[in-house]
Order: sequence, then C-alpha cells, then structure tokens
Amino acid sequence: MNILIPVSWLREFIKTKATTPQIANYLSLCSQSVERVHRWKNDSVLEIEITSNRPDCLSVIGLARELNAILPRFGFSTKLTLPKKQKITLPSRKCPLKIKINPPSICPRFTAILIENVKIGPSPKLIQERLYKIGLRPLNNVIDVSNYLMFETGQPIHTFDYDKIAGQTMIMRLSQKGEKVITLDGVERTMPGGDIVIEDGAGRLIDLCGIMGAKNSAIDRNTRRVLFFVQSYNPQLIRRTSILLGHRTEAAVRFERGIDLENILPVVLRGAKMIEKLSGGKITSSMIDLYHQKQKSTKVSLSFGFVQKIIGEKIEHQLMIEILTNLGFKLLKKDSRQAQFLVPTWRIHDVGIEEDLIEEIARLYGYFNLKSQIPPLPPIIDLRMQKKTTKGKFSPLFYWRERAKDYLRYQGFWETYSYSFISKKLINKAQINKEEHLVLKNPLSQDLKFMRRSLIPSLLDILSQNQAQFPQEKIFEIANIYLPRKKNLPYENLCLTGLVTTKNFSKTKGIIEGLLQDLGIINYQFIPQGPTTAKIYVNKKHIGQLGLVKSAILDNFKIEKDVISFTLDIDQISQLATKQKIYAPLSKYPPVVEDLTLIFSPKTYLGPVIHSIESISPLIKNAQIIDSFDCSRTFRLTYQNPRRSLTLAEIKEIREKIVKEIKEKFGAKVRQ
Amino acid sequence: MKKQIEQIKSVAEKEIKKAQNSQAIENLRIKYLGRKGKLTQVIKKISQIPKGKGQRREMGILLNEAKKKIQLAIAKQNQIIKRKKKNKNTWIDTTAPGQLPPIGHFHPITLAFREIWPLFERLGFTLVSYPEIEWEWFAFEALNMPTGHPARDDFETFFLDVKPHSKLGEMVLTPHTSSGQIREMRRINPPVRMINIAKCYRLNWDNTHTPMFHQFEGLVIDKNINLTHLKGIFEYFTKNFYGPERKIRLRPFHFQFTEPSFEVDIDCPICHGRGCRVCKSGWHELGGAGMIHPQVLKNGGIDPKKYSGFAFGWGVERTYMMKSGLKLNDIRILYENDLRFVEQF
Repeated sequence: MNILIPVSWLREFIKTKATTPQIANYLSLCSQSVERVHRWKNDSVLEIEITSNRPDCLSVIGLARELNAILPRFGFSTKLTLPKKQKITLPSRKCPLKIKINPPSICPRFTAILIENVKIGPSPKLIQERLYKIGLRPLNNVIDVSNYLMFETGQPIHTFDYDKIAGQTMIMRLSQKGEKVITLDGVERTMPGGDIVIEDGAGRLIDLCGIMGAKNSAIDRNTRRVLFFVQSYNPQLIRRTSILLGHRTEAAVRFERGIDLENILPVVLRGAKMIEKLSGGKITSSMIDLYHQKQKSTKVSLSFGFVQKIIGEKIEHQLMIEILTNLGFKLLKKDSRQAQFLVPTWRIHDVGIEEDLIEEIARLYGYFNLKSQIPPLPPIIDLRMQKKTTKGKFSPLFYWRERAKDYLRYQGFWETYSYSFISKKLINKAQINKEEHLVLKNPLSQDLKFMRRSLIPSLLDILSQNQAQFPQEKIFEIANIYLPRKKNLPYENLCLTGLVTTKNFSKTKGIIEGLLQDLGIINYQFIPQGPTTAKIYVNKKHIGQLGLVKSAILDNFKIEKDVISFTLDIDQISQLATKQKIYAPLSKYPPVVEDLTLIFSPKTYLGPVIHSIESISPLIKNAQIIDSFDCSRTFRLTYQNPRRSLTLAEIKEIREKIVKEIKEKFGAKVRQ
Repeated sequence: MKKQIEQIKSVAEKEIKKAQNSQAIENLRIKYLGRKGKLTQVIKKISQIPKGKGQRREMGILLNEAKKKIQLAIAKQNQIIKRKKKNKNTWIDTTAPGQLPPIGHFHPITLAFREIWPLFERLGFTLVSYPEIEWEWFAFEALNMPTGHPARDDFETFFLDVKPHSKLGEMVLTPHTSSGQIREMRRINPPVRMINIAKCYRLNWDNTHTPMFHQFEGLVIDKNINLTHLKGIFEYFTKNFYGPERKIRLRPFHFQFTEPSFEVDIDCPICHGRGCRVCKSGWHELGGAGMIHPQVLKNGGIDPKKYSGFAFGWGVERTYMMKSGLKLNDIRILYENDLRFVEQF
C-alpha cells in the first residue's frame, strides 16, 4: 500500500541535515521504497510503498524511527523527538457508557474517553495543510484530529457523537447476514455476516468497526459531546469484511495488518488532549480501557556467527547491536558469540526469529555494500534423479520441446499461447465431453472456467478469429492439458497440437513424419482410426494422432476452409527421442533400381503393403510409391547388397517373391 | 604415324580451347575433321598400312579415339561459348523481393524463454517444471502462508471444484512458481540449482495483468550460500540480459517464504536513475528474491542448520518487455492470439 508523507512532518520528529533526496534514496535502499517525490510549495511529499509486514511504517512516527536508524549509516547524525507521553490526571467519574463485547476476542483492546462541551469548528491551518498534503480533506476540529493522529501514529481512530448513541449503550458483536448500515460516505452497506459491528441501545448499527463509522452516530456541526474511540480488532475479520464489501479504507488496511496494543493508550490521551485544546471541550470522565488479550513480548537471540554466515560479510558485533538498538530493539544480554534482544512493541507482529533480526541487520548494513559473487559450483554435479518423484517435468524434455518448435517454425507454423481455461461454449463447439473437465470454483468469467483437456478448441477458435486476415494458416501450440484423476492431482500432459488449413493430407502427414525423424524417431506407425484419421504409435505406445477436422465442428467455428489437425504427446515423445544415429558402411556396389506396378482393390491401405515389401528381403533397400492411377500403384524398388554386386537372377527371385506375397496378402495383381 | 596422330590431336584440342566464337570452332572442325582436314587425311592413309600384324587395327583405334576427342572438344567449347553469350544477355532484377521459404513465428514468451534459460544453464542450473494444478499445501502452507493469508483469498487465487485433500487442502492453480520449491527440495539432496519457468494464474485482468502469466523461479541451496551469492547471480543475469552498463539495486521487501527478502530493481534506461515519468524514482522493479526462510527449508526436508539458500521469482513477461522495449499498452494482447501480433516476432 502506498502512503503520502510530507517531509516537513517527518522533520518534526527527526532532526537531521540530510536533504529530501537523500532521505528518499536512503529510505528506499534500507527500508520502504519511495516511489515518487511530489513537490508541494516549499515542502516535499514522499509517496512510499509500505510492505504488508510493516504496518508501523504506515505513519510519520514509524518512518521517523526508521530514518533514525538509517541516516547514521550514511554519516548523518539524527535526533528523534517523539511526542511526549501525556501526563494528565483524568476525572475519577466513571464514563456512563454501557459496553458489551461478544465475543471478547473480536476486540483485544477497547478504549474510549468522553469529551464534553465541544464546539465544532475548523482545525488550525497546520493540521488542515498536512491533511491536504496526505490526500485528505479537512472537515472539522474533531474528525481532523482522528485522521491526523492516524497518519502520525498509525493507529486508526473513530469519534462518535455521544448523544447519538441511544441508551448510552454499545453492544459490539458479529453481524448477521443481511443487516444494513449506512456508512459515513452515505452508502448503504449490506453485511455479509460475521462482521464486527456496534449496536446501540435502540438496536441500530452505529459502527462498521474498523472500516468506517455509521452516519447515524457521526459528528456534525451541532455535536457537543464526543466519544473518542480507539480500538484494535481481530485482523482477519476486518480484512474479510473490507474485502467482501469492496471497501478498502485507510483504517481497515491498518487494522488488518496488526495494531501495537501498547500504543493505544498514548494515542487516546494525546487525541483527547488535542480535542480539548482545539474545540474548547473538557474531558469529563475517566478512560474506558478493556484490555482483553495483553500483547505478548518477544525475545529473540542472535548468534553473531550465523549473521555473517547468512549475509556473507564480516560485520562487527558492535555494529549489529547498534543497528538493532537504533531500530528500537532492546539489548537484554550479550557475550562474545551471541546477544538477546527484546522486540519493540510496534514490531511484535513481524519479528519473531533470528532470521528476522538478520534481515534488519542486512538491510541497514546495506545491500549495496555487499559484494557480488557467483556461488561456487559443487564438486560433483549429478544430473540424475536422486529421489523418486512422481510430479514434475525434467530434462531432456525441454530440449525436445524447443527442437520441435524450431522444426515447426521452419515449416511455416506460427506459435500461439492461449489460456489454459476455456468456456463451455468452446468445448461444445469442438464436440468434447464437458463432464471430463476440471472446473474452476471461482473463475474470472464463464469464458475461463474449464481446464482444457485438448488444445484443439482453443486453436480452432484462433483459426476462426484470424481467417479473414490469414486465409492460409499453420498454427501450433505446446501446452499442458489437464486430465483429471481420482483423489490425485490431474495428469498434466504436455501436448503439441497443430492446425493446418489444407486438404492435403499427405503433405501434412509428411510434416509430422519429418518432425518425428528430426527427433530421431523412425519406427512410427500410423494406424487408421476411421476413414480420415490415424493414430500414431511407436513401439505400441500411442504418441499422437492426425486427421481431418469434422465438417460439423468446422461449421460450429464458422471456419470455411478444410482443416487438418494433429496432436503429439511431448511427454511420450521426449522419452523416445534420441540424438543417436546408426551408421551403416557405404556400399561400394551400385544399387539396382526397378519399377513395379501393382493393381489393388479400392481403399487398400498402402502403409502395410510397403512394410510387407520391405520385410521380404534384406536386399530390398526401400520401396517408394512414385505413381498412382486409379487402383494401380507404381513402386520404385531399390535393391542393394553391401558386399557384392547383385545378379539379375537374384533380383528376379526377390521380385517374384514380392508379387506372390502382395498378391496373397493384399490381393494385388501385376499390371501386364 | 602414331606420333603424328597424337600431335594432331593435342594441337587441335589446344586450338579449339582458344576459339572464341562458333565460326572459329567451325573453321577448326573443317581444318581437322573436314573432307580435306588434317586428321581425315591421315585416316585416308590407313589403307596403305599392310594388313595383318595388327598394325592397321591399332592405328584405326587410335584414329577413332582422336576423332572422338576432337569432336568432344568442339562440343564442349561450343557449349562454353553458348553459355558465355547467354550470360552476357542475362539481366536479373536483384532488387525485386525474393521468394521466401515458409518461415513461421514464435510467440514472444518462447523468445523470452530462449533468452533467459541459457544464462542459467551456463551456471549449472537444472531446468524443471512442476504442477500447474497444485495442492494448497505446496502453494501456501509450506511457504509460510497459513490459512487466512491474503494471497489465499478466492479473489487472488483460482480454486478447483474438487474435493479437498484431507491433509494437503484444496486444489489450486499455482499463483506463483514458488510452489515448485518444496517439490524440488524433496526431489534432490543439496546442492540444488534449479530454474523453473512455468505458467502461473491469478485473478487479475487489466492492462498490466492477465489471469495466466509466466514466471521463472530460481532456487539455490548448498552449504554456505549467502546474500552475496544471490547478489552475484542477479548482477550476472542483469548484465548479460540487459547489457553491461545497466545497474541493479536490492531494495528491502517482504515475502513470507524468504528472510531477508527484497525486490530487485534495474536502473531506468531513459533517465539513468535520476527519476522520470516512466519509472519509480529512477528504477524499475524486476522481481522478488530472498534467502529461503528456515521453516520453508524444513518443509522441504532440508536442515536449515546445515544448509542455506536463496530463491527468486520473476515475471517472464515483465522481464522480457523491459529488455525488448516492447511497449504494450495492454499486455492482454499476448494471449489474444491475433496472428497480426504474432507475425511481428
């Protein structure tokens, strides 16, 4: 969260010769990041990003404390002067307000004080100006005090018009779902249920605690009696309500990050005093202070050697102690090897172990002071798996993935990256069973709800979106698909899916064969699966498929051209792929080439025919189809013997064997 | 006679090679092979050689070969001259565009991956990837983010509609690559040097956020790993990735799973660290990092007394865009797959 802090206000608490740019720079280097410095007449306002672990820095005093530790590291002396603890004797009369907190755990500390005879009017110029600088609009001498002190101390404050609290009764409780309250900004808010609220004697909700007060009990021009109200609340409950209502206020952010319970009392006294002074009112009763859960104190030990081990620099023990004490840590005891510190009350939510102290030392020592070095390589690098693991993907999968991408790119394919979640509509259009999908409980929209189990719907969608601009498309994507498993995480299967707008099956199949061969996979088989699709197998493992996209699906996507799609299982392929090549000695004897034309019955698959021919004799180097006409297919046969020249008689014998076998197996005839 | 044939042949070949036009070649043909040509005249004399003893036969063969050689030389020279003539008349418009082979395009995320990964590979890092759909325990608990932590809100993290695991909690889409830290620690014994480049998911959707994005996560665990090593890795990466003149700074920050934690900034290339409109007081945020929290090491089965380590997780999109100067007003275009966009990479 970003906060605006006027430098002049900071300088009220910390005296230093450091300039504004120096303050901004050093604060960024050692503590909270100053994102911008805004000019404001003769002042500067720092815009600072405060990390979620440092609610104490959501205040001028918190940042002054930080600077008090940081600036000496850069050679600037500092003097921190925090507001003096008010020493006031309060009237002994008890405040007549009746309070009930149910359950008490929702409010670890409850304080309030009554100020009477208040005259509402404008605040002094200094307060007004400072509020403007931090982005708030001054309202009056009561509300301004609460805002002013919240920015000064980090403690959110609320003020009630005491006379608007019916029956002088407050019941702090958790809301019922559907209860309504109109907050100070005039918006009616419906409670999600389980929100901290205050009900008065008339049963009205008068405060949406920790987030914003209710309009019905607000200070107005005629307010005479002010209840100055300082609390801490259960942080999780405040956060929940604030998020569910979508109402993120300055108070809510501070409450949900944690309040220093020990700082509440000084704030109440200082605030009540300020209102007395600015509005002419008078504190008329003693303070209400219900402290249910006393804040624990934390002690942390620090081993000097461990600090050096983690930071990697030799840092003097004395410097470590100095850094921590400047930050408000109290040195409890020390010897030559270690020391023990008491964590300051405002850091109690954030510091609990030795590593937390090391962070304090490291950032104040200055990350910029550290040397840079590449960690030494271990003496042995073992790339093998050391422990059994069932989840995850490892080398060399990524190598083959990238190699496949390279291949496709040089075949003219364009790579896409689409969302892993798709819509029901898309699933239906692609005719996939939607029941088999993992579904998001809280999708961003209905379009991004189902974890896809195929890349085809996304790619068809892309094809359809782009067909006007790019009539000839070749696209692919490599991504995980998610296959649900019972009582287990889904199987995340890395897939390559490609789409080509073409009718040319043979060319598209050639692209895939080329890819498989490039990955060192040669013993693949295409097994027909219906009239226009084939599954791809290697050693009986199913590694992918290829086929025409059904015209009904293309119609659903309004794609006009024919489309061929293919999918390859990269997980499987990466296990089959190899860089190994098999070397066969070059033959000195020339091959004999001859053509053979056979006539088949219609719809004879040629894949098995070629496979049969090639297995007939080791002397057949290969059989290629060079011509097709009607049912006749011409094969170019290459014969070769690596050890001697082939005789015509040998070739004749093989040829007759081929004709016989193909005739028997496939019913083919030789064309005369 | 044998000598004579040899001489005629070699002189003829030489002369033919020197001939510069087809007329000259034709003249040479007549000179040697014409009716009164030099070789023809020798051929005519062959009948004078007595039969038998094989002499006539030998001469016949020689003459025949010589004739063939000369004819071949003529044919060759004719071709040379013909090509020369053709070349002289050829004109090519070398400025007209060539016919490109079908070269496709990679998505920018692939390009980013290919620039990031090799830098770490050189330092002995192992590339891995871990589940994108993960149990809450790995994504949060093990990283010190207990129930109620803001990152676990259902407007920050995607939850899957399945029955939760009795010990590991609900199934989520990983909101960061850090979920893989624990799995890597459980896979191998230190030394660990891991890079994990993967998809992540969060419920954000605006100009600068997409619900799916990419991170690269680094994890180094060994004896005696300290902050100076982390700084060394970042100096190495940024100088090699962004250029040797660029500077980085480590700025204190807060993450639940690292202690100390910080963000790494790189100086603004426009104002060089002075502060300008596009940067934050002279710096651009690159990503988060820190020394692994001892509890996280323990959760991964590693003894924090014996080993220490650091981790970092950066956005791939952001890291790449900061380098390439890719000025995307709306990064959602990365995943819209308008091919006119992809065409530019």
